[in-house]
Amino acid sequence: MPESALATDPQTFNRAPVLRAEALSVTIGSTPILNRISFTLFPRTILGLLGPSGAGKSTLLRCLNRLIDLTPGAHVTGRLLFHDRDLLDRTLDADALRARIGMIFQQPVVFPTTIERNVLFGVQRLRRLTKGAAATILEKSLREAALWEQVKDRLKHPGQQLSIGQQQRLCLARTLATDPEILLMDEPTSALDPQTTREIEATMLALSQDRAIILVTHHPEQAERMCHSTLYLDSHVSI
Amino acid sequence: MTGSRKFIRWLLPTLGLVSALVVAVVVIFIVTVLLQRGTSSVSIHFLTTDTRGAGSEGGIFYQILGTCILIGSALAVAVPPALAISLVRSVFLQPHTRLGKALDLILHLLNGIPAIVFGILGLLIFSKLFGWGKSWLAGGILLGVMILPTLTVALIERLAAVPRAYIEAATGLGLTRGQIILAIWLPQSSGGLITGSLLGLARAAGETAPILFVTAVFSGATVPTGIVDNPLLALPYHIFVLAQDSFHEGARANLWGAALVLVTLITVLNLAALPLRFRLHEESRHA
Repeated sequence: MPESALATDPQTFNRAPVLRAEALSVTIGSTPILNRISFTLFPRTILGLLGPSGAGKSTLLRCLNRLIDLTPGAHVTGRLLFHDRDLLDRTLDADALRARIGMIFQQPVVFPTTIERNVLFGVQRLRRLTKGAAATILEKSLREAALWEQVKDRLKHPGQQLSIGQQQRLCLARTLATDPEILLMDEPTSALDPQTTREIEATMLALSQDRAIILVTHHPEQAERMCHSTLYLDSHVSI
Repeated sequence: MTGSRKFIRWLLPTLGLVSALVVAVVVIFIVTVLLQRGTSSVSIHFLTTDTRGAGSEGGIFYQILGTCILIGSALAVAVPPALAISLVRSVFLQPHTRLGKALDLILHLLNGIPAIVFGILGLLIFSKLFGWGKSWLAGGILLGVMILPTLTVALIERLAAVPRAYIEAATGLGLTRGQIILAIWLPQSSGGLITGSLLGLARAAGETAPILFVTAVFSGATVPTGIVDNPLLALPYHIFVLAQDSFHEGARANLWGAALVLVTLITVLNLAALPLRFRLHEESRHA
């Protein structure tokens, strides 16, 4: 990826941040996972999250959309400001929050239904959609995920019959359909071949034109290609 | 290989084969006896007419109808609580909590209560306390409670097999717990609901003891028009009475005919579960 791909508006880092973590710590049971992590995420940037296995990268992502609530025994402290509202506030509606902060998992999770229903799976339950609006969102999301051309003639086919790279794009389209402000991506290319990885990376760069993305990656080269800033989680810090 | 290991390698498959043969022989024996003695009396006429002559003549139409009403109402009684209990157990409680284990224990205990105990409890509650006399609904409720554990356990097993990744992905999209139940948990476990229902119904259809005191009469009942004093005829009770009381040649033939019809009904319920289950498995894999 040429250097210019990452060229950003000089004003980028002067804008109001989308997300700010202050001294974020997580323990699960009695095991400390994250220790006083702080970072700032600006709009229209990609923040790379690097570090060895077990350093808590996935845990950090799961804090950001409160998916960590599903983990028994998890305890989170610190502050996590999303547009100046603390995400860790227990009175906050976690479900509404999760719709604004979308998550892409390491392995694509395609539901056992058609491509079309997979894309609309979240959005049609979060909002009342007319048929026309649903069709618009379907095409727009699939286009953004760079999958439209490949599947436009087989939207009623089972999503699980797609290739693994296409499945990951399908998951991306499903998340984009809910129009999140932040995309959390947990090693989204680790299950993919180099060619497909490049394609997904290009899609991510395009998406960062109007969204903030946090990208967990094992590869420093990927972080260098993709990210405007990086955060390194060291297992020595957290254990 | 040592001698004892060789022996075990030889012994286990042999034991398995012998057990399978014993089961097969028993099933073949029962089916043969039923067919031999029952076939002569089963006809369209037998299936579609009322009983006459204290069971020695006529058919078993209202017994079949009564059994269908009983298993239908048992299902209607059992499904809502089975769904509620299994969802609480699998979705709302963490898997290994004390409350969850207590719930499992209660289900097993309920499953172990003898049918005749349900019968007398029903007599006490529905006939005496509620003053229903003999009522189809009392039998439906008792059979519903009896099949509740079967249905609930089948559902819990299916819910436990729902991939965690689906739940996380749906949660990540911002769906509420209620939406996830409707969109993921229930569709993914519908196979368990159908399997459990059909297995439970197959069992309920053949039970005599629970309906003995509160529902079944031998003759005079047709289609219920209310709850109080609205008994039913039912296949197992019909067989029970004919077997006990009748020495008439025609009654004995009709007894075997009724038994054949009951076994056929139960077999159909069991077989109906198969393609439906396969189809649902396919869907959960591909569709």
